Amino acid sequence: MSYDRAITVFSPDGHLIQVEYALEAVKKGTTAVGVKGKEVLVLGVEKKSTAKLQDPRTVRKIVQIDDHICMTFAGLTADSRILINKARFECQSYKYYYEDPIGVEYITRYIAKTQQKYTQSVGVRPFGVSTLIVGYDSKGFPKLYQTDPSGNFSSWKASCIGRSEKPVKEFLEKNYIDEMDEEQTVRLTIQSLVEVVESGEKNIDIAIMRKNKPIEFLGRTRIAEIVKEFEEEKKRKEEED
Amino acid sequence: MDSLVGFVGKNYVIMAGDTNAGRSIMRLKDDFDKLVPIDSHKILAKSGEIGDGNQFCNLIIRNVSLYRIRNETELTTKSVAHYTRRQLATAIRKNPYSVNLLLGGYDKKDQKGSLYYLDYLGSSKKINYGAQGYAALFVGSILDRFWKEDLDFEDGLELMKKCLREVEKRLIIGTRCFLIKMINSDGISVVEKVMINSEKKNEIEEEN
Repeated sequence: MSYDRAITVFSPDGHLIQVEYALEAVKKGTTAVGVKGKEVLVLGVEKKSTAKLQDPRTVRKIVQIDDHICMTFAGLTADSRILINKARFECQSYKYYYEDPIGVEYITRYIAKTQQKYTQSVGVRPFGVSTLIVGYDSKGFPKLYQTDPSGNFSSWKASCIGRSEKPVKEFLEKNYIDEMDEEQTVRLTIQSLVEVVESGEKNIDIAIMRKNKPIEFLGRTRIAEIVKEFEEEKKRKEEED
Repeated sequence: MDSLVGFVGKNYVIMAGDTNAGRSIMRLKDDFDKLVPIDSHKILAKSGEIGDGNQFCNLIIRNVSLYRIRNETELTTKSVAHYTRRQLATAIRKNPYSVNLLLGGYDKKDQKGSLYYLDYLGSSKKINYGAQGYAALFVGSILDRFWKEDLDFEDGLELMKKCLREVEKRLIIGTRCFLIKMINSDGISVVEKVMINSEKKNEIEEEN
């Protein structure tokens, strides 16, 4: 019997093949990066190049879940819509019952729980989406969480999901320093994406989440400026060598 | 019993509610805020059962927030009024909410304020001025006489105080303390917390 068709069942060697296939789907999605600074969180996404006649504004990968929580994803966009909707509803539901704004870990746990449910239910397939969730916890510390189709979640200092996961993660591991300020965090995020994104800064979206402030999308000109600085630095290094 | 008054002025909406919360003859609280902000530019003034008011307002606030997060845009006052009315209308024959409301809001798109009268049966009407509770008995005629379109804020505040003075004077229950809020393009602001002392009381003081 084929253990990878239709429903999620264990294979003889203990794998959930459907879940692993879902992870493959995530690896096909456009890259998303999250970096945590001392008092700032930055999300960067590779935007899929839109067709000539397509309105680029309708393709939004960084979304707000609540006033103080944002997320991005890699994988099947349509699947992510469902998760985002459920998450948004849960945030308001939490506030309805407890009057307090929802915690970042709480909502991450909820999203992860939802993803896990779909790996153990009849007639459904797992979500082909990994998510990066950012927000500030009750003590005011920035938090970055990642979930994946299996329903696992964990907290990260910097993480990457999507097609260029490997090279970007290696870059982050090499260049990440603890307690970076906002400028450094933004630069690291842009730098990590610029190498792997085709057609450069036009297809990068950067969002900055500061404490108690609404999310800010970095302007096109500012991203272009920073990318230019990198390229000039690169040229100078090459010339020196 | 609650008193809520509201009217529309030039690019603002002014609303006032008494700050009493009581049970039969006892005043439990005298700093109870009945003018609940739904979002940055809308107030739902609630009167009636306190528990129902809390639950219902919470429900509206959370659903309006959900809409805002989902669609990245705020609902207009008209839409919120319609949504609220529908919630009341579906509830009336199942699990009624004993709340009567005044919904005031400022829409940036039209740059105008609007006021809606909603009651527990599911009726809704856009009004220029109105009141809920016992205040409605006294304040209606004053506003009929003195309300004009496009009142300046100072004139509006004077008119509101005139209404509240009348409520304090004629209502046998001592309402005294009112909270006045205003909504304009900058959002919701607390104008004043007024303690109204009627003329009669002054006379007694003079005697002593």
